[in-house]
Amino acid sequence: MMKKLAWMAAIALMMVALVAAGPAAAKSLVLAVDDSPRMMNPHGDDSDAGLSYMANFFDGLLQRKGEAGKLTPALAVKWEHPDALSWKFYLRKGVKFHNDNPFTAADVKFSFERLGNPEVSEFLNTGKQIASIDVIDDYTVVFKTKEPIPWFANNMHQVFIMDKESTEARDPGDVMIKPIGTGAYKLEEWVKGSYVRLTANEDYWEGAPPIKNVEIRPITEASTRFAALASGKVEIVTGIPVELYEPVLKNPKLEVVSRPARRSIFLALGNKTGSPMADIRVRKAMYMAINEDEIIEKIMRGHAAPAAQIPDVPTVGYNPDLTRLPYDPAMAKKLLAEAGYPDGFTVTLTGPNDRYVQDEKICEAVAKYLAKIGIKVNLDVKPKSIFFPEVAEGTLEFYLIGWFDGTYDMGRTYFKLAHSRDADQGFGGLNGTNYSNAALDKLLESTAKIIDPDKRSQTLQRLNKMAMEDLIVWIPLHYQEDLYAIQKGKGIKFDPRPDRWMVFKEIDR
Amino acid sequence: MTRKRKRSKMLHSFLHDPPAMAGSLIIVVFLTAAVLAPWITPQDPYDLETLTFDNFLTPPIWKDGGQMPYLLGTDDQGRGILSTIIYGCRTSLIVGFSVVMIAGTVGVLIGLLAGYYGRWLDAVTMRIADTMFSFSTTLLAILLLGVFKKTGIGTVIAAICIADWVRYARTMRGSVLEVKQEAYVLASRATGARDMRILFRHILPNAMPPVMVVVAVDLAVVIMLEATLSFLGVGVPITEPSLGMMIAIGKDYIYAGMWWMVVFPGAALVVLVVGINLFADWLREEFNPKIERTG
Repeated sequence: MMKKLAWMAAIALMMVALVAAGPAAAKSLVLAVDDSPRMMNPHGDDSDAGLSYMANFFDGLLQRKGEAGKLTPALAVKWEHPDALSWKFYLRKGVKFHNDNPFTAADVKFSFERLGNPEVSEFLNTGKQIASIDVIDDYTVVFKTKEPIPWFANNMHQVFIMDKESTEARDPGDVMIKPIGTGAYKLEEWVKGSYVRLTANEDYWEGAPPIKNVEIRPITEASTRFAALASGKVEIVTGIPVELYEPVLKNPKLEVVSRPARRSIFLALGNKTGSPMADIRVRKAMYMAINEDEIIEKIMRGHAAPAAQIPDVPTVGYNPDLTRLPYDPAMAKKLLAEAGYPDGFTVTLTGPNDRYVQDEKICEAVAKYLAKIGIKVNLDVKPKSIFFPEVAEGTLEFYLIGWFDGTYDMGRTYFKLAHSRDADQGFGGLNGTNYSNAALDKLLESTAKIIDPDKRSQTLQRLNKMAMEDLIVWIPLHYQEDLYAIQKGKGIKFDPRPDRWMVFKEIDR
Repeated sequence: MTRKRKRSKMLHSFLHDPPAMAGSLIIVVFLTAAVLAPWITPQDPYDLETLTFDNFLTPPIWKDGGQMPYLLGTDDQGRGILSTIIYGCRTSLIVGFSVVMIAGTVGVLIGLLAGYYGRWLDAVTMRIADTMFSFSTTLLAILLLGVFKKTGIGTVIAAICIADWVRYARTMRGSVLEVKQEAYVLASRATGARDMRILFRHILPNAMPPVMVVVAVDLAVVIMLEATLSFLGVGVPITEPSLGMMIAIGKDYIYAGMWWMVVFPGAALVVLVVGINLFADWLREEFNPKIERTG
């Protein structure tokens, strides 16, 4: 058995060496990422890991570029918002799908109607919001939404357009494994659990991408991923764990690229009537008991920035006046006593152990800090595949989670995370503690009708302040920093995106 | 052979088997340390109220930066490695002995009844056993832990027991099939003894020796299994000590040059399991009737 394994390893090594030593004419890239694709259906997986793959095979009507994620044209060249419910998109002419079918308004209509089908889509909310899609001509489309959706266009970079003809003609199983889009890359081969190979789309509307062949190897285990880089098997790795930052820096062959991430990490607290956490003083005490500076220094190894709220700076609704409550365990103890819990209470902290940077360690630290003011924490840390369904069920008491809003509008975030759960309206779908506050719900609902950007921003900021200061809906912890490592001296030009997507047309060497 | 003579013969063979003595010495040392853990460790690594980040990631005492009382260094939450290993062995042994006792009792009873009564009871229980045997115990335990949805030592013990009783049931059944043909069993049945008396007075004691060997081997297997499950993150929760968990935490730091978080708990696990296996080897030789007959 061992002998066989050793042989296989030797052959694998030789193959890697051959690939690496192959003809240098066409630029190619081998990289390791921390998550594997679930499917090749661009609407079936709304996680950033899945969308990151899809962004190479497909295009949205719009795309996001640069550090601030600026919304720029893609399959649409221009868009208008004639009234509160209508969105008009002018489409790019002369674009072809990978199978040479021309891209037209019919494909847009088809793709957006597909979003509402639960069998193939995780973008049901977006699908449900649309009342009608009118094809004016081959290159003009008007969307009408049921309610005013101020952030409707902000979502256009992650709703990918599929080819109507081939998607309808093919077997649904085939659609799940073979992407046919307009994107900068075509899928060459996908071996589940091993690699995904991409080749450049030479007819790409933005011009053929500089790197012709890309091989992505999903390696979930962080130290294995690092080992693949250190041994020269891959040239870029995503998700360098913070404890390996120093060793990477010390290695003369490697280089670290870091990018402040959009994602904030925070603790969600329930407010079930009669539970200790229904008392604002208890919520304040828990907030003040946590030494976030120490978490950043010791657990995140300095690779995080303290957060006083959930949205990040470029998001509409970010409130620059918000500050963190100070770390003050003595005051926290006093607040607990005032609230009638001088000896603390017991609470279960749930969290994922394979989703965010150091997630499990942060949970452990929080348990430690709360123990020091007398709150006994039962830790219930589990794989994300078990954790997230529990959040969706809304049965948790206290949990750690991370979030960033792909649409750059806090309103959408709050409807999902903070609004009282209402399955019919689709509110509070990720409000995992079943948190409920009537005043917050009311103010939030009022923002849905506000289209004027300034007024919208002001109201959302007011809402943000109310949630973070008056109600302490969540205890914010920090914004993550994404760490990547690349092989030095190979001429790789890589500027990571704030949303962690690996978009290969943006990479050169 | 009388019982007394048999016992003195076993003692004699034990005293002339250095590996067996080494094995039992190791077991005794680990047991003592585990029982006395709260009194002999300088720090309770799982008391969240006193645990701080002040001395986190310190190397072993003989390296630069090492400090008392952390002889083998500390991990990333400030827990002393030595203290954590001792508490971790406690978990290992608690899980090990609990499973051997619970799964052993259940398995032995099922095997006893199946072997003695035969027919449908035998067919049903042994088909269940075959089905469970065709899964790897690790896989089965992981599946069960997924179903239970609750973490904790109790859950781990329950999951391993459900996956593990089969070993005992099969061994016991085989042994009973042999013993129930013996003349003394037939004789006591001929004198009209009741089933219960035959089962527990005559068959059980005489069918036990092969099971004793399984007990010793299984203890090591279960300890490894608990470590494996905790390593994979489905075993005991992170707030409770476990050697497997320590190795899982430490492996993230290997490339950062902080080897002590993985090497020491790994070594402790290896020594404990080797110790138990040495003892089990001796036990097997003692109890294996074939070797006794030819030898």
